[in-house]
Amino acid sequence: MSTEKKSEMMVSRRTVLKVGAAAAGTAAFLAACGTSGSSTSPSPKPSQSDTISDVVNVANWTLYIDLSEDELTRPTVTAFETEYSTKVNYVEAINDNDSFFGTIQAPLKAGEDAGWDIATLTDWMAARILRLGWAEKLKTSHMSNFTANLLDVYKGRSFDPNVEYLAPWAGIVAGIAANKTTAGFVKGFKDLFDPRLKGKVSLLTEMRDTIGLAMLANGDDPAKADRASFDRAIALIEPSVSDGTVRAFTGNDYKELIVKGDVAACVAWRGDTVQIGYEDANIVWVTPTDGCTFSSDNMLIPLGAAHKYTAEKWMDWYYKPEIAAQLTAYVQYVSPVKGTKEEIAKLDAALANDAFIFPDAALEAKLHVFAGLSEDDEIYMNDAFSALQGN
Amino acid sequence: MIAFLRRRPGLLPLLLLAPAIAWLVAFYVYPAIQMLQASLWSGTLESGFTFSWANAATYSAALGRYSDQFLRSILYAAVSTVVCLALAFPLAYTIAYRAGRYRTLLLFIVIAPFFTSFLLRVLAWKTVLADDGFLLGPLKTIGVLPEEFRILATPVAVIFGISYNFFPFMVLPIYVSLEKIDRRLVEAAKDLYAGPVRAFQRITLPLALPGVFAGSLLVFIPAMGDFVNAELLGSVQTRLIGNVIQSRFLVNNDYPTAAALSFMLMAGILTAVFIYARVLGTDELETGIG
Amino acid sequence: MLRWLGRNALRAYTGLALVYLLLPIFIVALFSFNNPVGKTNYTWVGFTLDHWANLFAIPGLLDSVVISIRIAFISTLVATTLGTLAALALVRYQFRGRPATSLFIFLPLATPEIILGASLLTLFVAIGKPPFFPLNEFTILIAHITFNISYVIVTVRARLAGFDRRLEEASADLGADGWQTFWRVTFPLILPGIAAAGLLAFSLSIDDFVITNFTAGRTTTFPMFVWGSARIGVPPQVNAIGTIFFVVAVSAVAIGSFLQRRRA
Repeated sequence: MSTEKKSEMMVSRRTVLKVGAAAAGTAAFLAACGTSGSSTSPSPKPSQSDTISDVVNVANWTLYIDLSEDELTRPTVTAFETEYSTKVNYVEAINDNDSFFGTIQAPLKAGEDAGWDIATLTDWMAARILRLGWAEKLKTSHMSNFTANLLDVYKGRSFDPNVEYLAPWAGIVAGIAANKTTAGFVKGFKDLFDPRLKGKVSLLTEMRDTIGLAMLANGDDPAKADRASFDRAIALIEPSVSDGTVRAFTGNDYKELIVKGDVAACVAWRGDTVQIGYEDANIVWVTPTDGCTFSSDNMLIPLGAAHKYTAEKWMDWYYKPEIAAQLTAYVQYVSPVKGTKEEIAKLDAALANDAFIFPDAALEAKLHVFAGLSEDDEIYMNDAFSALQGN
Repeated sequence: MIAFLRRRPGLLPLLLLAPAIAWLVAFYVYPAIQMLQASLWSGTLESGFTFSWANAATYSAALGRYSDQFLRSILYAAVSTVVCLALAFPLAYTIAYRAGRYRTLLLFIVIAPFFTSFLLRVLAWKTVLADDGFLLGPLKTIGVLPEEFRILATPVAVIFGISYNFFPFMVLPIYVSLEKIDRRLVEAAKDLYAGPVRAFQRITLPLALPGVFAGSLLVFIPAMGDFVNAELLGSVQTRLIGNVIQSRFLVNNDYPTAAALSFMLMAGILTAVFIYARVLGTDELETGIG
Repeated sequence: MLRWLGRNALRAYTGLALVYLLLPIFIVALFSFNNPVGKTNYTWVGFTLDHWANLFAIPGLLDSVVISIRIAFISTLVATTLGTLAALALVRYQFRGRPATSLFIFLPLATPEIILGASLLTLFVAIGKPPFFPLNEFTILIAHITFNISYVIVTVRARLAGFDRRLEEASADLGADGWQTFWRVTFPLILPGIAAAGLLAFSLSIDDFVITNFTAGRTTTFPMFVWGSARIGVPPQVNAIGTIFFVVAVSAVAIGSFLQRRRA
């Protein structure tokens, strides 16, 4: 290199060093007096008034609301908007509990409005939110349907014993969805790792469902989950991930994969699977021989939400049996609302007898809830599960 | 004001520069410092983070834990760059020398993909390359390909996706370099009895190097940070460092590790760029690309 | 003989390359006319114009497009202004620290999008107060301007480098003062370069996903809408919008170059 170019390179190297030194100095200065990021207690918010607002922001999962025939409107939502003269900003923003939590934790930590009036989160995530004190207490005095119609089984849960923060949206059963032409032999969780299905299997990113099913296949009880049974579950799954049998870990996106045929069988949620079955009759639900996992998604109002009253009315709306029936008839999940069975019989008699929507004793024996975890255990398991996914 | 500037001519360039530089300092440098700080945090989201220089161990821990993904990112980025180069050079050559009146049209088609949404393009490839899609399906039906064959969810698909995305970035700089070459040099070489291949090797190729350099950087750098292609077209085995950073930030809320990984990625890229600049012996880096 | 082979091989290759480049665009356009069963727009079912007729029937789609366009406009304006001023300084004036500034401008281009996005997120979280927090359209705007500035500077500088200063000298000789020379001679001549930079900035902004994903909070831009709908199936309307963007951009460039040719 010519001396000219060399000196140019040297100049740039020197400049880089100068800039780097300046940056390091600033960093040191910041370290001395910078924010440490520790949790701050949220500043008390003035109580929101008891009037309906112009808009309410609802975050929910996909395939969790009823759709009209042309799939362009959501009848129960439209009915709510008409009844209360408000507008619902319904966004299917939740694909995965952890990633959604990632989007709201920063404002909530800082004591700010997270931007959502309703978030529908699974038990364990809802429990975490309550532990952190990031949910608004419900004013049940104007939620008559809710107080009257909540199924008893949801009262007295360890993380919300007095039903002050959470309004269950639906109960979810996790099991297996399979294409009966290519994976008709799949009857249990272990069958997913059959060599015939190499590269055509997907699991859920939802740790408690995937690991829960693996635990059941190992003969362990998810309700008593500990690090040992967790490790055994990982050991069951891991070989099939390394050798490429498992193609992907998905949130709701397993739907695309199985319809396209890129996946022949996957861990899936029952309501989704039934809805997919309407579009492609080859995709069927399989209740794993060792049992299914069961959890519920709960509506909660994040702390500092701008439209609390309207949000409470939204919760209450879905505790009207007729509305709950309309919703359940479409999404096919377990309804937490009393009287749904009778109402749904008016819409579709067959659904009223569907054990997966209104579990009978036989099915209840096959449904298993995952244990509540301590923060340390949760981090341990999340890390190991992330590592399993290559992250 | 103009009179004031006339008396101090040295001030004008600084004034012109000031807004842009101020913006970049506020929204590029300062955030980088914040991230550096975050990388030295320890703790968790729920129990709070605390800063300490002693947490520098996060860096080595992250490097050790995610070395696979780092190496894979380097490998895929390098392969994608080479693939792009191999594919783009002939095309750039054709446009520069053989296109005649179609030159503008061809250039236009090269940049046309940019005018569609990047995500839609990747999803379109996902449709084309589907296991039983209209490309692989017929081939499987007539027996040319085995039933279990697939392109999606393999390294090939990811590299393909990355190469496709940055293909125009490679074509354009090479085209610009080639177009600038004085044809008389090549003719002179021929007058001196050099065959077409030799002329190409000795004259055209070296003079095209600045374009190759610029194009390679424009492909390699973003490829190192890719996560969309790996997410949509790849599988668990093709996870890149971009996926890890995204996951650590947005899913696991593990800010220290995510920030540490980001810095190490940046450092890696800058090192690679400096080495490359040295090897090629150009001063492109000095004046920037363009 | 070798030359004949060489020539045709190149032609065939070019043809293949063009197919490779345009195939996804064709697919995007094609599937906008698809008539899918339910929501699964992955396999071709049948041709229909229904979705083009009901372009904004999908809730949230129109909003996301409007937001994307608005952000692109504003960020282009700001980035092009700041960037052009800086490029003028870098090309035409010698000053201490010019190489350092050059290097500094280069850094954002060498930074992977994921790091740009993550660092801005960290910043906004640390500030923790409006308008930087909670994340919203304003924060997306800041992010877009930030990555656009370097692109604008590099583009304008490349065009400025070939600028013939004698034109300005001639103007001064003819009695024009500094301002007049700038506005009547310099500016019109560098305008194509600025326009090119602006176009680049606009397209980068409207198509950005990674950085926007980190800094958007609850706001949804068009690319984010596409990402979200990819989970259950991209509706034909989204494909239609993508096709429209393409056609508009293509037309803009075609008209621009046509006008340029006329002026020359």
